Amino acid sequence: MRRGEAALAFLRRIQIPTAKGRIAYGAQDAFRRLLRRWDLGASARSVALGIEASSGPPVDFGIAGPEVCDGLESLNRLGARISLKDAGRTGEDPGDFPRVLRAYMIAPSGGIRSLPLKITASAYVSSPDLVRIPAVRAPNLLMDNDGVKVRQIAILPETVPVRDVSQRCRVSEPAVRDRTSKMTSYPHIRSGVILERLLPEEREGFLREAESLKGVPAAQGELLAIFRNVPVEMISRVHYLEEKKLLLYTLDRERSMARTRLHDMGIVRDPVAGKTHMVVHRTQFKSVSMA
Amino acid sequence: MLNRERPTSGSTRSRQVGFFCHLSLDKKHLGAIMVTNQVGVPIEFKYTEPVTTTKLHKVLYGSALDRYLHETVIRERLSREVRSEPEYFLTSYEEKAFLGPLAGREMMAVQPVPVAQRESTGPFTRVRDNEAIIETDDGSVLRLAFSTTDDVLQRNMVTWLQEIARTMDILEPMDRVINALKMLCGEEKQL
Repeated sequence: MRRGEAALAFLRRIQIPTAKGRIAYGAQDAFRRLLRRWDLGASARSVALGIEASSGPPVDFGIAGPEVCDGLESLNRLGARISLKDAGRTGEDPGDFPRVLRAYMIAPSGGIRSLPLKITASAYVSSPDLVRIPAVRAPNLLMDNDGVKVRQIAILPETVPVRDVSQRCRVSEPAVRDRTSKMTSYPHIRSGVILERLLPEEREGFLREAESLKGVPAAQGELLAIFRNVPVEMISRVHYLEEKKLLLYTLDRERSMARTRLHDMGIVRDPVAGKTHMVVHRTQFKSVSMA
Repeated sequence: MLNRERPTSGSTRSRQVGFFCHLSLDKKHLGAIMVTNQVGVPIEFKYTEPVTTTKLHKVLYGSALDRYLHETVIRERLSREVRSEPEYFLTSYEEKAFLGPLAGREMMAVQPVPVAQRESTGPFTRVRDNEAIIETDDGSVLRLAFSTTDDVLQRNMVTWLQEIARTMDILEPMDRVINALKMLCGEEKQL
């Protein structure tokens, strides 16, 4: 381009006769138009291209022999905070952080004259970990990496393993055992009636029974307890617990009866002889059928 | 001499009485049914093997665990095994929160009323929809809780109970069942 300008200046400087001058002027004009067509009129420009940052493979723009400068140090120095949103990424994760940042200054064939880092940076990030962002995410973690504040998202896995413990949660159905025959051997434990509520006639009746059956004088006999509805015909063993005033008895398992009598039973003590007697009231009973 | 033979309306009929008991020992739960005749002689006695609850059960079932154990695990399991035909089931008063039919029969929770707490009661005094206080022929006062709120059915149950009380001590078999369960639990431990 400089040669063209010098030639044009030379043409302007030379003195041209009238006829020849017209021809020369025409030549000047034609040459000027040619220069315009070639766009040689302007001085050389320095073109600043945008920074292309990528964590993926470096982009080859196919320009032979470009002068490439790494702008990472400059970025760190400036404390620039690269925001993907600002960088043109329209994703919903402005906090993503590229693992590796590389800046490429792509120069035209004329070379690079400056590193205009104040221009808007463009960053394209591609990483397998950051491609899919699940809906559930942990709070962002802020880290300071040499003055560059970056954000990192702790990603929770989309699917978690599930363990089935239904069997352990269930209360197992218990087995049922039949112990009817054993139950019949257990003793019956009976408590007596409240003597204070007993009618005087009934009290005298038991003492008379004790006199006639056991030989204990009614005047000196002491009534200790009365038990109602005792199946005396079926009893195999019987015992009176004086301290607890309880009657224990077991039934004869071998003996099967269709009907039986339930007698009232009194406990009478002979203070003279020091003996305690069980007195079955002979007329105070009920007849019951056995199932 | 007094007229000693007191009439019993059911003296010639055979009546079976059912008893249901639930026993909780530590973390073990087991239950039993016993059906007796009107004298108290066992006709059928069946019990469940102990069911042990874990901490996980308590956490997962929460407050429903007790109800689930009483009603589903124990009572329903025993219901399927009852072969005799009691008219009703009796249980201890502690079980009143978990009352329900057993093998298709209604149930009553029974508790003797101490002498000191007795007020003037009649044969049947209603306390709540499903509770009443009754007095038996021998002067005992019992507090009852019913598995049903049907008034007619409740009165039928009370009539039946008063009739049974003329021939047996209605509370004694329950003690027998509880003692038997404790003994059987000891046997299970030895095994």
